[in-house]
Amino acid sequence: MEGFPILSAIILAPLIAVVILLFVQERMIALIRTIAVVSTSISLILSFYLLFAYDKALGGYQFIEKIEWVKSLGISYHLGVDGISVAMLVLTSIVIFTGVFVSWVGIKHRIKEHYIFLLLLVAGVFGVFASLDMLFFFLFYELAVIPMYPLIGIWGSANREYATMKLTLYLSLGALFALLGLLSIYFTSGAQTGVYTFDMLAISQLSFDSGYQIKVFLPLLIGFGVLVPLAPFHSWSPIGHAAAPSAVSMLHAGVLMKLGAYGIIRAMWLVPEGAQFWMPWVAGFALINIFYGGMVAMGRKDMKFMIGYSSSSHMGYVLLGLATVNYIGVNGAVLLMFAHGIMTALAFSLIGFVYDQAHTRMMYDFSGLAKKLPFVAVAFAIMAFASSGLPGLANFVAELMVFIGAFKEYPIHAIVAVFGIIVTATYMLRSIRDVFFREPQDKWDHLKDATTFVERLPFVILIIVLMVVGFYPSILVDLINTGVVPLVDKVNASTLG
Amino acid sequence: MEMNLLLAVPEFIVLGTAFIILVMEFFMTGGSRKVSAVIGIIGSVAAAVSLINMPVGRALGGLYIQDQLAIFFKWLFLFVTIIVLYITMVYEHKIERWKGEFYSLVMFGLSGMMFMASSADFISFYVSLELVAVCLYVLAAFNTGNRLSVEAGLKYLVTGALASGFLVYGISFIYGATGSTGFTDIAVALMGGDTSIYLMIGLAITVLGLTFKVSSVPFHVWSPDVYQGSPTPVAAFLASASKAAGFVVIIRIMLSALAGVKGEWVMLVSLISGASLIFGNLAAMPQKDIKRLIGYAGIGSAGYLLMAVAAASELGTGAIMFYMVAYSIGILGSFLAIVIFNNSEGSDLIESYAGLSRRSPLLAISLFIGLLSLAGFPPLGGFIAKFYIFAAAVKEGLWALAVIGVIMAIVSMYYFLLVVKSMYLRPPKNTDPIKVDCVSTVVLYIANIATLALGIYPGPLTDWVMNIAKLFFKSTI
Repeated sequence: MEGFPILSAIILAPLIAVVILLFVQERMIALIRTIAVVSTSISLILSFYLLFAYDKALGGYQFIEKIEWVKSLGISYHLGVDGISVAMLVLTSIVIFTGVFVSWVGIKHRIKEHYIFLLLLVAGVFGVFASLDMLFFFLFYELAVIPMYPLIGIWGSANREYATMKLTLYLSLGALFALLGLLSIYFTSGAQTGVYTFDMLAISQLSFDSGYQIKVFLPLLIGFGVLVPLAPFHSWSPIGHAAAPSAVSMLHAGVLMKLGAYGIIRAMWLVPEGAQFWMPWVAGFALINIFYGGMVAMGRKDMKFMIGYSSSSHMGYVLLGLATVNYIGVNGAVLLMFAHGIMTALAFSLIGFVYDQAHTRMMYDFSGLAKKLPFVAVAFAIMAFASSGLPGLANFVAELMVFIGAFKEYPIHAIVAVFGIIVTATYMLRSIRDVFFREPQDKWDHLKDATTFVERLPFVILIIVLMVVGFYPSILVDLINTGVVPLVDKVNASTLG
Repeated sequence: MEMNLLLAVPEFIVLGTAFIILVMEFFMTGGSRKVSAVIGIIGSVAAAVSLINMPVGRALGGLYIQDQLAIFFKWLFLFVTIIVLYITMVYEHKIERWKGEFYSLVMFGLSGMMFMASSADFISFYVSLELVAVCLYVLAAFNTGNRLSVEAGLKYLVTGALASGFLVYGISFIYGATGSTGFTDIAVALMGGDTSIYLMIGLAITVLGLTFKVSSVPFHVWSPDVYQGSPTPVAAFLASASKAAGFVVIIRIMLSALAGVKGEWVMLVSLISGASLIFGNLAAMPQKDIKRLIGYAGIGSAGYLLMAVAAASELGTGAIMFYMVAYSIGILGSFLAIVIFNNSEGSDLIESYAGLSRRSPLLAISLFIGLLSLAGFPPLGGFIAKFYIFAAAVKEGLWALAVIGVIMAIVSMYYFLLVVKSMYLRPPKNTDPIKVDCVSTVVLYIANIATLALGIYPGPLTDWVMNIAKLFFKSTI
């Protein structure tokens, strides 16, 4: 596949599907779904191809494509991936592929528009992970945010209008702050070299004055931190999760939040000394995330809210891993981004499956569902085990790496953070007990288990991924490591502190 | 004292068209005047064609300058006017009397704006400004049967007269300090960085007087009332062409005539910009009427444009040009949709737009694209425009303004999304489809595609405007 623009193909597959869908009539539902499945499977196959075709021995950025876009400003359509971005592309393609099937089951009205917005969103996400140009990075990011507005607003559940407005405004605010930081880097690097460019590869070769780096890292950290979501900018996230339809929650928690962490990784790469200065702060806020998110999740009765807060809590581990700035910690953080993406996607798809039939997500409304829904119960239990970090599932490896990394740099933070696992286990196990065990109720006799191929496929794929990565993590870790090593070396090589 | 009248041919074509439309009134009785609009459109196209390969230079004894900047803005005015004339045709049945005069006043106003873009002297600037203003006063109050329209015209007149007074007063001080009214002579006189008290007074008062034309603080109060009350095509004209005319003279006055004392006015312009951003956007939030909403949002966007003026650089000048193009397209598309909707429903209230996406997907998507472009959502033209302005501000280190701008951009997303929410998320009160005739469909499609194209592939336009900005700065220094 030499010379084939594989990254563009991954991004364009959903976009082309959008254009085709515009010309398909609303009532041809089977065709609409087929188009969505075909386009996302193209992206899926291509990103798996990347997973194996990426030359780990060589490392660095590969599959580079570059086209001049606005010459007078130094903007180019510039794609390329390192080990970290490949892992994220694979994650995204798995989540959207399963998400299409979840929507197949869950979305009953305005189906065509739903898939149009969903595919637009995912094209934006693919674009962010593959971009090497700061402006395109930002544009793709916004492309991923805007469709959230109608997706939650039209197909969402309780409180959707408030939630979607809050989410859109928060995410755009974060994005614009990050944009100011990126613009500042653009002008500073331009003044330094005389060549104004948004090319991240070129800018990463430069070294800035350390005082400047410290200043400019802050808007980037806040901007991307809003998406992570870094406490205290997290309030959009659980409410957005809760209101969104299942497939959107999956993408939102599984992938969109990772964009924030990915943005921070990119910022570390561009201004390493700034990163070094702020990372102890990030580690502190990460602890707040872990415990605040975990404690609030414990108190939640609505399952989606619970998973939403649990996501903030897990993203705290990711931040802690990034803050360590050593090989194993950052590796663990990226692997956790992957594992958590799959795990939350599974969680939201399962909750959505139950909600679509029962029209409630309150844990106290349920009991004994395991009798009626054995398959869903087993899948939910696997998800809960993964979330609590049980060995054999992907999250365990990732969290372990984060803790090992953190012990080296911030031993106290690490000791405290370990207790976060107990918090997670508490609410996860409790939710299994309340929802799936104890006495079955008559009013839930009408619930049906996932039996058809389309219903089961997303759950099965996600569980398999969790297990494969859990038992054989090096399939990803070796890959991620090729991206992490130069990044960590670069940050540590800076002279500060 | 060379006259060089050939340079001003486009203006004369437009003036001629305006007179033809007036004279035709003698021979026409009753009924529609769409033929006048068509003549106006033909005249505008002719003027636009005559601008191709137009030589640059000075005319009318130095009062008039034809350069790339002027030509760019004239094309923009002509384009806007063509669409405004079309919107007026769609709107025409609501005009009770003097339909022909309406079209001819639009053309007279257009010629004034074109002269404004070419003014090289405070005298010609002031005269052309008043030509535009007088036409717009009348146009704003044109629906004499409607109390709101009369109020709009009166408010516009009173504020405008006050602002004009400020301008003349300020100009006289600048004349006193520099001994000239020509922009080039003033620039030469200020090379040394004169900071006498008279110049400072003149500077401050002139800047304040200029804010009327672009509807920024402190002469902004007319904007929402006039947008709401005046005939909708007039609101579209005011929001796009008239604002652009204001900015082309601001570029000429601030960035060339008064460039030597830049240090003295940057702070003032920054303050005005910040105040306009905050006031316009916050005041837009609770609005119920979509035209009034756009009126307040217009104050906010004047704030963005002034941010680019405060940057006082090539990049800032290019940003203003790009912004005006993207903004005008967004405004015209939205106002055409608003007129069509009003023709069918008789309401401009945002809540009456409920469920529009199901009644007329085209109108809904046009408003969606137009308004979100004004809000600066990527990948629409308005985003690149705002991006450009932020870039100019960050480059000059105007961090406080840039942060205010970012926060207010989010506020503007909020109130424009309220309209989107009404159109897409709320159920319609009745489900009858709204018919859009085929020419309007084409115009709306063009506006939508242009907005998308500017956002996705801005390269050609950015290269063009940056080139013009470069030439302009080279000629002034």
